[in-house]
Amino acid sequence: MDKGLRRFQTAGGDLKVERKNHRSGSSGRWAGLVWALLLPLVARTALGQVPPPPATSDFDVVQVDLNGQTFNRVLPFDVPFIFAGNVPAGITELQVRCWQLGTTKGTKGVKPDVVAGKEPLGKPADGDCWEGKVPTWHNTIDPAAPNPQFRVLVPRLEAERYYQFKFSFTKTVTAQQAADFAQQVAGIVDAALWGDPAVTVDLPVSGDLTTQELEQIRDRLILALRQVTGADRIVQPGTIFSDDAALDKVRDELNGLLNPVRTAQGQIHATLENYQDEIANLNASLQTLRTDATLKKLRDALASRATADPSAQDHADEVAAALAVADAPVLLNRDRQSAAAVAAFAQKNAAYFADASAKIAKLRDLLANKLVTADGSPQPFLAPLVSTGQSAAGQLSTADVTALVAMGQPRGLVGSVDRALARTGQNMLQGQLSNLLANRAKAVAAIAQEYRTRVEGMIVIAGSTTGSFATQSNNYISADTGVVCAPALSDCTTYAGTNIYFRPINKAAPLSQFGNFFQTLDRRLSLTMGLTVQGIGDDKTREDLFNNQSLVLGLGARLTNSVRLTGGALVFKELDPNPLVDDPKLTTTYFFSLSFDIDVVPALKGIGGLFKP
Amino acid sequence: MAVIIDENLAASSTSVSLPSGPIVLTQTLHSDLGGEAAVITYTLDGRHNVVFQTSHGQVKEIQVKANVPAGSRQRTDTVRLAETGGGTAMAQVQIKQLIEAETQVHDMVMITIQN
Repeated sequence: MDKGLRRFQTAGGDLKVERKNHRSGSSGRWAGLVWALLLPLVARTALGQVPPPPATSDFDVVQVDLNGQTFNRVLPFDVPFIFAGNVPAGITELQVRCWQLGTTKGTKGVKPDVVAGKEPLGKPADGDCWEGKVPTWHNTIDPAAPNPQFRVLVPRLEAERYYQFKFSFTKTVTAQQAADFAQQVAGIVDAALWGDPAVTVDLPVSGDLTTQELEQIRDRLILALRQVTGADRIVQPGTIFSDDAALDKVRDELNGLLNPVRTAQGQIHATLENYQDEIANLNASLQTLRTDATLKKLRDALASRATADPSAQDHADEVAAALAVADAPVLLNRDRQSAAAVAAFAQKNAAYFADASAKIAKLRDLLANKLVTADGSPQPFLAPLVSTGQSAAGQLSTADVTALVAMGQPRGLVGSVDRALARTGQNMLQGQLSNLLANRAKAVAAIAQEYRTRVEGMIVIAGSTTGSFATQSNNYISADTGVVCAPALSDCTTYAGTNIYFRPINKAAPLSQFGNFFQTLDRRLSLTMGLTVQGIGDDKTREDLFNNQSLVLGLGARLTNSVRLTGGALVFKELDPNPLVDDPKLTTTYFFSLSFDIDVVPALKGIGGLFKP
Repeated sequence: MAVIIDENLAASSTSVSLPSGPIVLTQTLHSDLGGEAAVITYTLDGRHNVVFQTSHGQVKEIQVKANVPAGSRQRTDTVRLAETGGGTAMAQVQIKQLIEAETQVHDMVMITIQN
């Protein structure tokens, strides 16, 4: 007896043959297996891989950490989305630029070689993701408000791509930043104009100034402003800091501001040269003075007379003190390395010049005014020391007295030394040089103050460039349900299935934005695998593949964003017409189906929503 | 140096375009010798093409004679600047001054060249 038939006698004696579904256990296991395969996919897609939009927006929101240059999630694709995050206070505008770096396919997670903080080389400055468009957020609230947040809607990105982003903030320079910059300006101008001791010995620099040198100073000022403000571009038109500033303007503006400093500095240089020349002559004269035999004779004669006439001792001391005056200080290269060094040199040697001048002045006064009377005869204190004939030891001759008086005249040795000491110490170091250093410092401070005023409130752009970030790449599968009709069976039934696409698909992205039907074919076509919800078996000619379910295999195309037309094969079992033969054969018939996405069902307000392209 | 600079050289106009108008150079001097004759020489660097424009043509050096008195006195000289050839790369040029009397004294003033 066929094991597939169960025969029993009815009450009427007819033989009733009941087709035993002897494979029902096996079929049930297959159905369970298929469902086990499908359900997670269906559930996964039904729950949605694309996170649900926030309650306040239909757009995905990607949080940006501008300091860390990171995002809080993988970037969506095919749909516009919102970048949101905190910006520093004072930001008035934020721009987003984006560069495509390549595909994520086949890279095994290895990111393109980019440097965070640096824009990609050889790419358009405004990015190449969005056809040159630069999404911009304008701060319509008070820019000074604490903890401002930006939200900027950016166009769609491609799936499975690496991208790099740059967030540029437009902000104004604050008062504190302007003050900090002014300090930097003072330092830059001071050092740049004075010159580098490692390069130039003859400081301060005192030559002509070329346009190229002006440009170098400007570059240093721009760099300082960028560092102080954190900006990488200064866009305020009409300033020497902006990228598009005309060279003529730069030249004229800097020239005018630098001129007082350079004039004072050139005059400092000239004064130092004068000092050096003077000192060379002065020290030679001092050496002559110290070794002058007549002066020594005067000193010794006065000293010998001290016991008899105490006033002679004072004069002897004056002569001795003058003869002991050391050389004047020579200006060394290290004393010229900076304005402060020059000032220190002047200050340090003020005491020498005061002391030396006082001693030489007394000697000059003694020689010029106190040795002889108006008629040329020796003063009473000197007369005993002057021999009328040939001078003896410890005595001065008349010729000696005449020579000593001549030395005290303005052009005489002592008179010249006296004048030279006054010129170098009093006029040059303490007078002229001090004034010039003060003028220079004032001119440097004026430049710093001028730029403090000019940059405060100036518009600058700061940038934060990210490393590479990838868009989502795993949205290949979706779930849908619909009606499947098999014309050969003259039957329709419902089914649930999974669609496997050939590329990532973001169901939230309207198909219409990517072109016409054929241009979007890769976003529409998918393989479909599913199970009928109701059986198609009639227990006469066919029965379902698994219990009450048959397998749906097909190739479908989305007609709209959520509605799909699929054609393919319905897999079921064909029964033998002979009821005594229980050997169903696996067979197929073609079908057409109309289905819609399961994940859109909860969101549907009406059936019309399904048919939006 | 018997001549002493009381006020350094200053220009009536520190920013000029070329050819310039008259630039009055002012300075206050005195002598510690009770007055003396001095020769004052103004020079421009020979490496650039900015020159003095004088009635005798374009020169790099101008010399004048002066008597420097014992008391401080302001004195002036007037110069004009021009350029030889078309345009100059100079942003600022310095007019150097040398006063030769009993000794030699240097001074200068910086002139900005406008576009």
